[in-house]
Amino acid sequence: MISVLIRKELIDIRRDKRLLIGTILLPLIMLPLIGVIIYASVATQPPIIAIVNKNPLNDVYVNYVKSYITSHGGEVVNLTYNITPDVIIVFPQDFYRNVSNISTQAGVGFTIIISSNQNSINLAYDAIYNLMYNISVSRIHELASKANITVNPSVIRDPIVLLMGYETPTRVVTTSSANQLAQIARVVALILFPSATPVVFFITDSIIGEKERKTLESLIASPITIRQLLFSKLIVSIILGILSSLGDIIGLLLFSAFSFYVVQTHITFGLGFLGLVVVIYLLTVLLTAAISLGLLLIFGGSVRNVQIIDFIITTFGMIASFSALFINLSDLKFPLSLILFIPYVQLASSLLSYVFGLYLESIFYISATFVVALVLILLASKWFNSERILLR
Amino acid sequence: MSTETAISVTDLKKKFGNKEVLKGITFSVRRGSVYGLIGPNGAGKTTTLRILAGIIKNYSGQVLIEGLNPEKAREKGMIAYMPEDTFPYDRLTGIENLELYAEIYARGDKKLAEEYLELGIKIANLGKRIYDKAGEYSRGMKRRLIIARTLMVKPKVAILDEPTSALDVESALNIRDIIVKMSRELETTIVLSSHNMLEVEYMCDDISLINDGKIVASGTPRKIVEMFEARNLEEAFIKASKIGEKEK
Repeated sequence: MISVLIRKELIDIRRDKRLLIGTILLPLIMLPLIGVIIYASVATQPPIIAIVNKNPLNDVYVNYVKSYITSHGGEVVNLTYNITPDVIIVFPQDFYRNVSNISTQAGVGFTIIISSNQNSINLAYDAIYNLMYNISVSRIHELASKANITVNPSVIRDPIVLLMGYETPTRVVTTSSANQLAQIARVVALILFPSATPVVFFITDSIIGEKERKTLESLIASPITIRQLLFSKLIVSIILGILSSLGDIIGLLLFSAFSFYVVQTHITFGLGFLGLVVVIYLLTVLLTAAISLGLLLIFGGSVRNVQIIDFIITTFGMIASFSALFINLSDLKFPLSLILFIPYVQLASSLLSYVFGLYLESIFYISATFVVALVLILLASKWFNSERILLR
Repeated sequence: MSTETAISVTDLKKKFGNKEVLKGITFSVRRGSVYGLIGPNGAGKTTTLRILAGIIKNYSGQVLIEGLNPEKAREKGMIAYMPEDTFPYDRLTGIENLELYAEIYARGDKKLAEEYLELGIKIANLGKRIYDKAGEYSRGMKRRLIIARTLMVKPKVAILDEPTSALDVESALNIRDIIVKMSRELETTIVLSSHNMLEVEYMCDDISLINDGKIVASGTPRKIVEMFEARNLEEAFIKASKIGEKEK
C-alpha cells in the first residue's frame, strides 16, 4: 500500500518543477554562491584608503604606505567628498620631525569609517605596522651604531618567533589544511539547513497541503492507515533529501574546484566528509519530519499553524547554523552545552566533531539524533489519527 | 434491493469540545438502497457521514456497517467516501487519479485493480480527456472523476456528502444518473446528504430529516411528505426544521 502512495507522490513531485528545481538547485548553488560572494567582496570591492599628508617632508613614509597598500590589492585615494574611503590615514605636519627623532613618538591619524570593510581596516593597519617595523629597525641600527655594537635588529625587534603547528582537539598533530577544512566545515554547517529548506517544508506541506487541496479526506477514508500515509510522505521526503544532498555535494565539489580562485587556497574533501554531509542531510530531513509531526499533533494542521511550525523549524535551523559558525561545539561546558539539545545543533556539532578528529562524538551525535527522530516519528504516528489530522 | 440491514446506527452521539453536534441518532439502511440524510447547515449530516466513513472514531452509541464497526469496515475496503468539498490530485491525470484508488482498494491484487480502473474509466466517461491532468478539468468533470473513483471500487457502502453541490444543472443530472445506475448495477448501499430536495426525491429510497443533531423524521420521501401534510419534500423539510427550532 505504501508503494502505491509513494508512486503517487513521486509523479506529483516530478510534475512540480518548482519544488524539484528548489530541491536540487538550491543546495547546488549555495556553496559556490557563497564563494562568489567572498570573491566579489575582495575583487570588486577593493579596500579604499585615503591618505592625507600635511607635510611634503613626510613623502618618503607616505609613499611607502601607499606602495604597500596598492601592492596588496588596495586603492589609495585623496580625501574628497566624491569618494567614501574605508579608512583615512593622516600624516600630520610634525610627523617627519618626530619620526626622525629617536626619543619621540610620531603620531599618525587612523580614522575608520563605521561599517567599512574589515579587509580595508586590516590592510591599512598592516601598512602602518610595516612602516613602524622598518622605522624601529632603523632606530635599532642607529642605537647599535652609536653604542658601537653589532646586533641583529630583527632579533631585538622580534624576540619571539612563533613556531606554528596544528593539532586536533584530540591532540593529534595535523596540518593547516585540516584547519582550513574545519573553517569550511563551519560554512557547510552554516548553509546545510538553509539549503535543505525546500525538502524541510515539503514535509509539512505534503501532509497539510493534502488537507488544503481537499484531497486528504478521501484518502484517509480509504483502506490505508494513517501510519502508511505518514510513512509514505516520510520516504518521499528522504528521496528528496537524497536528491538535495547530491546537489549539496556537487556544490561542495564545485567550491573545492574553484577554491583557489576564491580563497587563494586549495581545499579538498575526503570521501568520509562527503558521506557525512549526505548522512547529516538525511538526518536533517528525518528530524524535521519528527519535529513537524510532533508540532502538528500539538498545534493541529491549519494553514496558520503550519506557518507557525515552519517558523519554529526555521528558527531551530538558524540557531544550528549560527552555532556552527560562532561556537566551538566540541568544547562546550554546562550550561552552554544545553544548546546541544536544540534540534539540528547536534548535526552541526557532528560535522564539526568529525573535522576536529572527534570521530566517536560525531557518531554519537548522529546516532542520538537518529534514535530520537525515529522514536518521535513512531510515537507521533501512533497518536495521530484521522480525526486529529482532519479536524484540528 | 434487499430487506436486510447494511448499516445500523443506534443512539449515536458526538461532541466537539463542549458542543454536542449529534444528540442520539438512530437509523438503519437497507442493503442496496439509496438513503438520504437531509437537513440544514450545521444539522450534523457531515459528522454522521464521517463517522460512517470511519474517519471520526471518538463517539458514543453503536454504528455497524455490515456488522463491523466503521473503522474495521474502512480498513477492509468495504466503504468508499466522497466528501462534499473534495478534489482530485491536480498534477495527476484523470487515469492516474483512478489508478491510485484502484490500487489502494485492490490491495496488491493487480487484476482486481485493472478491473476497478476499467469500471472507473467507464463511469467517469471523460473520453480522451481522462489522459489530461485533472487540474485542467472543469468542476463538473472533476466531480465525475471523483464519483467514478468512489464507485469503481464496488464498495459495499458508498457515502456521498452533497454529491452534486456547486454543479450546473446538466452536470448534476449526469452525476445523479450515475449514482442511481451504479447503485442498482453494483448493489451498493448508498448514503448521501443533500440540500436539494428534488435530488433526494429522485434518488433516495429512504430518507431521514436531521436537525440540530437529532433525526426529526424518517421514511420514504412520500411517507415524509404525508407525515408533515406537505405538498412536497421541500415543504416537509421546512416544517421539520421549524420543529427543531421550537425544541431549541
